[in-house]
Amino acid sequence: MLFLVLFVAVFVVAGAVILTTTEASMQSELESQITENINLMRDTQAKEGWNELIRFVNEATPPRAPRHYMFGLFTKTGEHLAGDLLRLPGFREWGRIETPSGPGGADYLAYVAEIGNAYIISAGSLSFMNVAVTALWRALLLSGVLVAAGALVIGYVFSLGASAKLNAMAATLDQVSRGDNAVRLPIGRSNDQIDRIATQINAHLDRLSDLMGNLRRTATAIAHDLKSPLSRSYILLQEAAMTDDAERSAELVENAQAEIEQLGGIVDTVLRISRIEASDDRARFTTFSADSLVSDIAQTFAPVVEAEGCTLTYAVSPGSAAPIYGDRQMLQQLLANLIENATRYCPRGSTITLSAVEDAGLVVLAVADNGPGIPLDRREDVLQPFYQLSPERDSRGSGLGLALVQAIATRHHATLQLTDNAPGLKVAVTFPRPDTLH
Amino acid sequence: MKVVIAEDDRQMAEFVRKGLVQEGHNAEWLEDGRDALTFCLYNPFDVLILDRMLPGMDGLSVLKSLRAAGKKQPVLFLTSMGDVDDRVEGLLAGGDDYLVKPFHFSELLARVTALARRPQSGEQPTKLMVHDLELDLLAHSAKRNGTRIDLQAKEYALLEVLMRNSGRIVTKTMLLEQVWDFNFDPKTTVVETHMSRLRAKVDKPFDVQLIHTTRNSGYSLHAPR
Repeated sequence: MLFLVLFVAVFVVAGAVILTTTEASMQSELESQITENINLMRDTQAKEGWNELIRFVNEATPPRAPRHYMFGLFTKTGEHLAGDLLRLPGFREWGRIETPSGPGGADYLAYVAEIGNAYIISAGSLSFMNVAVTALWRALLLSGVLVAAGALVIGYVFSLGASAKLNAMAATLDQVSRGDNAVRLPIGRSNDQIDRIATQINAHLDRLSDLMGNLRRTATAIAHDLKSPLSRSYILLQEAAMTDDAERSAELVENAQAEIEQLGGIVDTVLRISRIEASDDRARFTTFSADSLVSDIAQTFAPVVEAEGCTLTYAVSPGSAAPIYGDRQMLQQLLANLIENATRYCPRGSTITLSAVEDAGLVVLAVADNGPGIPLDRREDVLQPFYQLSPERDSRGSGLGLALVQAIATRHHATLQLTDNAPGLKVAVTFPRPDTLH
Repeated sequence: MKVVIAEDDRQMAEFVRKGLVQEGHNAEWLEDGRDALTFCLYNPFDVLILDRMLPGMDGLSVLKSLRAAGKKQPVLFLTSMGDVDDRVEGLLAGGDDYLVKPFHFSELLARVTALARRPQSGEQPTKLMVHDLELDLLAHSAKRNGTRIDLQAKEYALLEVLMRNSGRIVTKTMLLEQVWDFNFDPKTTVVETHMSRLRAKVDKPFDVQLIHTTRNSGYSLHAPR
């Protein structure tokens, strides 16, 4: 409706401008023609005398209507001397006259000039101008109606398409809100704004259903993994309550406490993973050199790994001084988890290698070992929370270490790669260029 | 020392209060955030143990009001929300330390004691001395009984924290935070391993043992008593 009002307003203004300018230019054209005729008559009289002027006036008058131009020659007293204008008008210079001659009569623009003792009149028909302006009016009106009607029809057809798409979107989102995570919005081929928004919404839905899927798996796994320390501590506390030996009782309570601490640790890690995954906050991100991080971690863990009978090596390589943009504490935990994993699953005498290199402008942190490695088809699975390689759940780990590593890598927009170190496992974290993150 | 406990969980508060009294401290328990603020504004105390979520007024607001009123006593946050972001938020608001529930009482005691003894003035010592062990904070070097001890960077940092807290227990978590800047508990024996290396250099060659382990609590460095 607003569109229609605006359209009409614009149309009326534009039409009025076109009409007035056309009318003005036609009138000035007519005026100059009339003035030219007057000058011609003055010249004739001056150069060739009165008789020639009378002849000129009579000849200039066409015999039949429509007459675009009319002339008249009168004495000062108003006596008609020549021409088809029979009466001397009351005005001098510019004015308008009406003549009954021609079909329906017509309006003329006239100029009355004095030559010697006579008056000459040159008049030009306004009817031609009126006809032209009326025709223009009609054309404008008609085209206006056509354009308005066309715009309405085209707009309606387009909005039919758009509203069909929007209705489909609403229906799909309705389905999602009722719990169906698999449905996605239809994407048209026109790549219009609605399609682009639909693509964005689909990406959000993908992420949402990923998160929900993770949540479901995690909930099941948590329930499973929390159950065992819970039941162990329950038994320990029961036994402590039944025993008469104070020393034994204290020992049992202490063991129960350790079980509960382990339980708390699992809950903390799960919370940490989910918080890292859910947020994209970079408040704690800073820029530091890969070397400072890796050498620090190497210094910290080398004696620990040695105490377990393995070796941790760290070689400074070209590019290890490259900057990383990230949360240093998180990345410390990432490396610590990878080193601890390697130590846990490698036999004594294994070597764990820590490295930081710059590869094609990208910083890669890697922890490699020459232990048993991970079979190719299980490398995706081990990144899932609570997943463990051995079927009888391994008491050495919670199955959360690599899930946390994955979450930290994702938070840094880094890619995590598990590859064969032949023999052993190599875990590489490739960071994006810092400038692509800002 | 006098410790104020602002905590709405009665069982937790009673557990902490009893423990502190047993250790010979004076403890005042308040359940409501506004009451805790009023008490701290008008009564002398040494350390405030502040729960994050309190009825009346939440812990963060209590701390902000306290700091706005010019009260500089150390504050230890207690919370069941255990993530880094909460920790950072609490410390930014002017908190001095942070402890996640559930905790071992010895951990709380070690932290409260460390907070209470923390030097308030800006004066920084350049040397630390315990018995015949000397740490030069400017040269980053250690000497015992006149003999220079070669320490690696982490060993030096570990010794510095122990000496700054000499006579008090420093827990494993406190060491992880202060020496390694770890906000997580590694599954391996990081603290134990480095501590045993430090002991091999600082204690083993000498007659008198300075670094002591307190079972289930932590470590302390002190002259023979």
